[in-house]
Amino acid sequence: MKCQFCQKPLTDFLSQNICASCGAPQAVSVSSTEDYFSVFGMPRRFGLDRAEVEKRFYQLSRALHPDRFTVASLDTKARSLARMSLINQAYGTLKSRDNTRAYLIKLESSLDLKSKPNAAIPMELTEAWFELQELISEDPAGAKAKLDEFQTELSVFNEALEKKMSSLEMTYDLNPSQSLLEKLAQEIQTQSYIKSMERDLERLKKNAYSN
Amino acid sequence: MPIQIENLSAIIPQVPHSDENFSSPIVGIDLGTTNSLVAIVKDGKPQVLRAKDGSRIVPSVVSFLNSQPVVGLDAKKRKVRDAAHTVFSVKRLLGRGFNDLKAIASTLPFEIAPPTETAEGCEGIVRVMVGGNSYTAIEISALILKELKLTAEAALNCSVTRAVITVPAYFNDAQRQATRTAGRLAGLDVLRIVNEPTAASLAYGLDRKRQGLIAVYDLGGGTFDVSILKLHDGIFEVLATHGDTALGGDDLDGVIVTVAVDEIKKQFGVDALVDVHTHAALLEAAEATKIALSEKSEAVFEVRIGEKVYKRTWTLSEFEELALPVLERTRGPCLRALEDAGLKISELSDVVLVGGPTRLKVVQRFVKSLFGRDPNTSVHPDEVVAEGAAIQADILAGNNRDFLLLDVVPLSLGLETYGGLMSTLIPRNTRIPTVARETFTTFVNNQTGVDIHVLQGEREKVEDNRSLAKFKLKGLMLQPAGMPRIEVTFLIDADGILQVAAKDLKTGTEQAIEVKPSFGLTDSEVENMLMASHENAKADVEYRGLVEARNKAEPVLRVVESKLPDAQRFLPPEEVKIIQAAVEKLKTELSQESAEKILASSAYLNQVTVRLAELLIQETLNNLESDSESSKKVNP
Repeated sequence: MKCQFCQKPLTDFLSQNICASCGAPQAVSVSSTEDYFSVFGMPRRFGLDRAEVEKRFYQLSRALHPDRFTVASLDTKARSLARMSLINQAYGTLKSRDNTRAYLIKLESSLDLKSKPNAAIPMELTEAWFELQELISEDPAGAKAKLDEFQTELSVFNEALEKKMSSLEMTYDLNPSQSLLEKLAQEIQTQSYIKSMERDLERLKKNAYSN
Repeated sequence: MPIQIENLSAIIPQVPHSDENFSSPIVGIDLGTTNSLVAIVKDGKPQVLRAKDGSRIVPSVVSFLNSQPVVGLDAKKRKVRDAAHTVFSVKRLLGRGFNDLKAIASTLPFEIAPPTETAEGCEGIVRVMVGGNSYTAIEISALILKELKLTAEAALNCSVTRAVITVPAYFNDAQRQATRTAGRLAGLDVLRIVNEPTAASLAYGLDRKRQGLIAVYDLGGGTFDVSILKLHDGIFEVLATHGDTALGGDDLDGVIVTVAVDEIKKQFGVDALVDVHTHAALLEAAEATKIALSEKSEAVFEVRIGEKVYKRTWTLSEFEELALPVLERTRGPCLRALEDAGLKISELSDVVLVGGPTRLKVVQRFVKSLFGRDPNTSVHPDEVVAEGAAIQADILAGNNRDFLLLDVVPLSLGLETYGGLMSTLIPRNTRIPTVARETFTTFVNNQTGVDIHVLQGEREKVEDNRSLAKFKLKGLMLQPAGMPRIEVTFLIDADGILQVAAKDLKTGTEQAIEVKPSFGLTDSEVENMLMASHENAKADVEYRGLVEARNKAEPVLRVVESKLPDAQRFLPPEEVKIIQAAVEKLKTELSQESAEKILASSAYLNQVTVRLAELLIQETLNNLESDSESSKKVNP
């Protein structure tokens, strides 16, 4: 990789964002091959050293934040703004396990995480949930204990799910394959279903028992 | 035809790009609800600049004398004396529309002008009525900023044209834009709008030993903010921020006023809030009572109601009991900020108190109970924000390469979608600068254009959020519903100012706007005001002299008038006549416009009353003596 301005080679992740020789923030192009991993010079994998991600974020921010370019030319200012926006977005993704998971799947496959196939929905939990909702309207006082119980059940389910995803991720990092990504994508959909159920439950409890 | 925003550069005195001007100072300004300050970094240390009279604080009060403005301490003196022509706490109105006001209108100490009808309905910019004239909060704020600019120029002995101005972190886009416009009207190039708690953290973290995760609890005169930050080796990273832009120390005065209004109604059968003078006097007495209670366990609240006097002793515990429900309103924002930052209370290494009201013991105790630790009271609660603004100014000037501030957007930004719902593009607490893109489509066959409605807020329904802007992307190809692909891009710069662009991916048609506030000033209004202010610059200086003269002379006149009956007792009629003539002369001059003549007749009045003053003092002394003698007799 060469600097877009002075043509000197860009040797590390920092200089690929801002040239170490001429100090020019590198332009972010729409057709660029850059992704969030490459901006941070991190390997394209699920497991990341998050302390290192933070360290690099601070390094990049110090070099590229628009506050460092208040007296620069308009063109340089614009490039610093665009690059810092990219760095902020990348950091928002890479510092969080959930966000990294969704991002890498999108990057490496054509899977659509927003479509919701029924296969991802755990039927036993769904049925229990419908029964509980009925019970609340009939006998709110009696449903209270059951609701709490169900909430615990959901969080246990969630923990198991999280473990399952972690192990899928570790396997993928060692030996990447599309089928692992497909499995992960399905678990993500299950997780988002469980999370929305948890939110509904919380809201229901609040409405039914807040007074 | 209104002039476009680009053309403003032709009117605003711009700083030319030369080395000389790059060394001109950038000041940091804390534009507060109650008080404002200006500061600068000198030899690596921030310092608040003093006005001529030595004061560091410019009260955010503007008084109009014959529709000419007076700002700061001189205006504050007129707060009760000339309540009808004096405004304060206008920050509460900045960037707000009439709908926002309904909730707080009854607590506002000023008269709001009725909304003006516009083509789009009647939700125009809010104006305050002051002595028959109406002003926007932006104009009033600009007058305060101008006073600060003059203060800085006098203290630094050079012209000041660039500034960093602080705003409450929870200010929305309209309120930020309004602050920016006020700066521009005051002749300042506003290099950056900084969040107050963030600025405070800069001053707090100037001592590099202070590292780790901190909460800044910033209770100002009219706004409340809480920010969670990570301080690491000169980086000040905001993790989350929350707040309430209609909650502050004013509300603590409010509980005292409410009690007073109730009791006055019972005792005298009058509504004390009807009269602006009484309202202002109540507010002033309440503030004084609150401040007195921060040092003593009792304070007397006293206000004159017509011929009668309402007097009441407040105990500290009584006040604190009423203050707690107000403070309780800060709990939710604090907990939500922690949640958004993904932190537990126990992970914080310090809680920093900012803002005058945090001096109150009841506030400190509340914060302690909320965060489970003694809050840090080491920073100067009134000055730390201005100091932080000065540090950020120093960073922007390129003098401080060690520090860097990384901030977030306080409120989510999005678009109206089908069914009157808001679709979020940038969630709150996203780091800035940032960019977000999303693709939308049409809901009706053969739509030729789409309305882009930009929103800010956390609610689901469009009407529960703030409308920032509306524009139309035209020239779509005729297609069945759901076919067009319209890409909307949101770009937020380091200032937190939003730009929105919409593009039809099929035809490449593009429409971009800088979001301008719905309740701001139009460009042509700003331009007209700027023109007027440049023409008036000289007149303004003369006017300051006139006001200062009036402020000196009016108390003299009042004292002499009140002692005229005594004069008739002590002095021969011809001497009384001379004094009466001097009083009339000063009265006449006060109604005229000459500072010199006012000062001269005031000095003359002083001179002709010297003997009267001596006699009055003598009489007082005699009375004291006879009092003590009689007491001796009673009690040998």
